[in-house]
Amino acid sequence: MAPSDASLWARARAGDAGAFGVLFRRHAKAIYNFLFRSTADWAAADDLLSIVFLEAWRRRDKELDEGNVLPWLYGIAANVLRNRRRSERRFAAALRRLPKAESEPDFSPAADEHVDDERLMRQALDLLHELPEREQEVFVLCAWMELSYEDAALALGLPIGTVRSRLSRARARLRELEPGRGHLEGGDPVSDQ
Amino acid sequence: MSPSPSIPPLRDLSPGRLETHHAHLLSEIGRQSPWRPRPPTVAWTSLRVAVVAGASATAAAAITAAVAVTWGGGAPSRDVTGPRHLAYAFHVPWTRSITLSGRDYLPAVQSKSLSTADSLHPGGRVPSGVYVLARYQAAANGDRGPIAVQWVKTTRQLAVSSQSGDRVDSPSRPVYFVVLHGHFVDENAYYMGGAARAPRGTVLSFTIDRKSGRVLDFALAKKSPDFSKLGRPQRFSFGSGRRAK
Repeated sequence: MAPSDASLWARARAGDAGAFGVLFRRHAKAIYNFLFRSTADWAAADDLLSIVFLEAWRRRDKELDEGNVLPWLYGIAANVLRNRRRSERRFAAALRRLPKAESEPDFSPAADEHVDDERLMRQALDLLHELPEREQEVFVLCAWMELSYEDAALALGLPIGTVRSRLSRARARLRELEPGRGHLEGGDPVSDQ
Repeated sequence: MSPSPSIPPLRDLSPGRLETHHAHLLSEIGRQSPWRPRPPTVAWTSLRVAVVAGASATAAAAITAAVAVTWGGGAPSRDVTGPRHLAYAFHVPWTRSITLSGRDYLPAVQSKSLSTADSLHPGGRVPSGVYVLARYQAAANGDRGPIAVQWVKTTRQLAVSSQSGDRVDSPSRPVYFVVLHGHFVDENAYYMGGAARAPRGTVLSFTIDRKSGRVLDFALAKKSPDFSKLGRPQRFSFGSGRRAK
């Protein structure tokens, strides 16, 4: 029987890097996809994945109960994304002055899928970026990553009521922005209560 | 909940990437020190409370000693030789002790510095927060005995501009700008590519928010910052390390 997240986390807190490695293997895919759905860039998601888990290791003095490990990792990922956005803004002007690198053609079978994914995701994010940042985070976690209100609240360090209201406002605004599309609509998150 | 049809489906990492990340993660963890202490935040409010409490206790003890001398009909005992020594005898329980390689140095520093942000460390004309955080940063970055420490009161943007061209969010925030000279290695820096060495440098600089006591900016470099717009820096050393030049 596979050890629970809580027991692995307890071992990681005691300095067991192997246990932390198991947690990484278990949750890497979820965090990787969350990062992609927030950036529309698989390469960036790949880079940020390591940073998220290194940050989690650095903050391993945090006590976590069973079921809280993944939401907490989402919270760290959200912080890493915020830091990245700040850095991007700061260095955007400098980056724009750099000559563009020649992109190397990728003939792997997944390359087409990835390009399509990124195009689709950029379209969705373009719309989402019309919302305030705090509503974007709640929407991505609840609607796209299918977290419950409770888990999203834990991840973002918010009261559940705030998560509900932000998600509701986000959906309403998205409906106003794109009345015909509606493809950003997700169902209601599953409540643990 | 049904997944949104117009966003891409969940995907696995590219073949081999999970293993690469896993190996990189374990390698990075192995490079880090077993335990990295969080920077101590000198809680100025708590310090003020402690100052009042300490002063009250000192006064009470001094009165008790005076009463003992006056009413006891003799000289005070050797344990009660004056308020200064009494003040140092009070333990300060609100500071979190920080152990670096088994050496517990913060209580030793802070029990002697019952002071506010701008008050001076007993060892010299150095604000207590500057002394404590400089000592912490030196130890956490691999050089417990830096050659010298310089500090100056300035604003955040001026401090950061003297070291790099970065812009900061709150440029006019009053800070202490602290510069340590020694040999530092930031073993806990995050950087991509497992083959790269940890950042290192001979000049470690950071800013401390004078209101909250928090460390705001941090840099490792090989060149001293330009103090020309910051005024004349004060200088001190920790005494136990190499001598200040």
